[in-house]
Amino acid sequence: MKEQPLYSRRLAFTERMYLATLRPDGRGLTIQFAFHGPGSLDPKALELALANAAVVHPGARLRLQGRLGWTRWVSDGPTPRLREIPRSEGVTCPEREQKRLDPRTGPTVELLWIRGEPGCLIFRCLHSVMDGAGLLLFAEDVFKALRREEPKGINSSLCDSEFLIDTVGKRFRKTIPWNSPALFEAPQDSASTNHEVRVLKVLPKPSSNLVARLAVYLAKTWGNDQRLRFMVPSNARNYRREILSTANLSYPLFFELDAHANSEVVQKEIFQSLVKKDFLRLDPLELKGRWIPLGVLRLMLDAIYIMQRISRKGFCSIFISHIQFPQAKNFCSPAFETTRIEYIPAREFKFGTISIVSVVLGGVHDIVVFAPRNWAKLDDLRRVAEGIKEVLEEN
Amino acid sequence: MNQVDVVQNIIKILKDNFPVLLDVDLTPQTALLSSGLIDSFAMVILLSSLEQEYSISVDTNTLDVMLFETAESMSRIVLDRQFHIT
Repeated sequence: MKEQPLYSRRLAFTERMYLATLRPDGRGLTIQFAFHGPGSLDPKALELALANAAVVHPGARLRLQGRLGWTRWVSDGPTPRLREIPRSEGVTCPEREQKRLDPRTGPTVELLWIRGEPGCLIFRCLHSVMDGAGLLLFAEDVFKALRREEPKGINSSLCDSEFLIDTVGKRFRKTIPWNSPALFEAPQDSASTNHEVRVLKVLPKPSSNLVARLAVYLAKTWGNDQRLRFMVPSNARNYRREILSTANLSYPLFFELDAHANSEVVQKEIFQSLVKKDFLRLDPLELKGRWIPLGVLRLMLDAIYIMQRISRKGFCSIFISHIQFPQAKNFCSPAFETTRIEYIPAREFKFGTISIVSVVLGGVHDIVVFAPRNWAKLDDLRRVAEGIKEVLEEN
Repeated sequence: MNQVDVVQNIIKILKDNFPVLLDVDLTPQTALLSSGLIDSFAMVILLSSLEQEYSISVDTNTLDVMLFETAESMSRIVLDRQFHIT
């Protein structure tokens, strides 16, 4: 296995934003996927596989260096750690186990292991170092190492803004206004941590046009005659298939819908945005924002957060992420077979609105609806989850 | 280039890029979009693969999502010059 030379890259604006919202107690934006399935893993083999995959994944060994606007990720951090956690009743990864991943000291990626049958592996990372597709790429290579195959590793250190400049040039889009309405009335609870409702559904065939159908359902049912803005992350790696990278390369596609929306039309709009690459255009703030010191950025975000709480308006009303194409065989080893992938929401991302993340593996749809406690009540999330079940059953 | 070859090549591109299709008996008429086998997000991959494979530059203003419904309909993107930037 060829060790990658020291790798260093500057941070994209969104990565800086996520860093600025990290809290000393571990709250902040982490990406977490749990792989469930039968089999029992040997911790020594797991540790070795993790170390082997990390050799060719400098993105899994990043640590923050530099100060003010000159911070960079440098791959001289520790190898991701393996931590065994006890099985908990009713929840895969309790909050107490979602510990702080320190960007200054590392590790910024870790693997949690729940012993037993069925077993569970939970890959966690700071969203500031990887996006969901990046973490799945790293997880694939850990499973490859478990199968004693050569991990693929990465071949690019691009962060999102560099990728975009390189792909579509400096074409700017309008800054997204902070004016999309909340779906529900303000709850009494003032806590900014997330709560969630999960939907599990096994479908005999894939869902067609799910993002558009969900968006239309939500706009019709909860839009209250207002236009709702949706944010859907899209994997920008699809535009340059030669790039293997774990960095943040998901880019948000925004669209607005009212109660008269039609899912076929929405699908066409999404398609046009994707092929024209309109959504890949940079917001001018994203270039300038790379130089704002983290402390200043934190103060700016605090001010925006107060405005969001008072106005009950955000940069989007609903976030939908639909991860449809992971292959079960890529997440298997002779000792462990993944049968379900669960996305575990971060403990807190206080700017979040209503978020829906769906991961499909085989016919198993694992969908989680979550929001900060001070943005939507649990009952509201339950109602959204019931609606999602209906949309899935229409398939 | 004849249509049969292009369609067969598109089926190969589909299988190479979407492992989910490896176990599907793909024919030129297999519904891909309406069956949920691929989605709008996957079409980006297909489009760039077609452009690369056939050294064409597709005029995205002329494209309709339903052209991606089957391998056979996708072959029109390659063969019909109205979809190309000349």
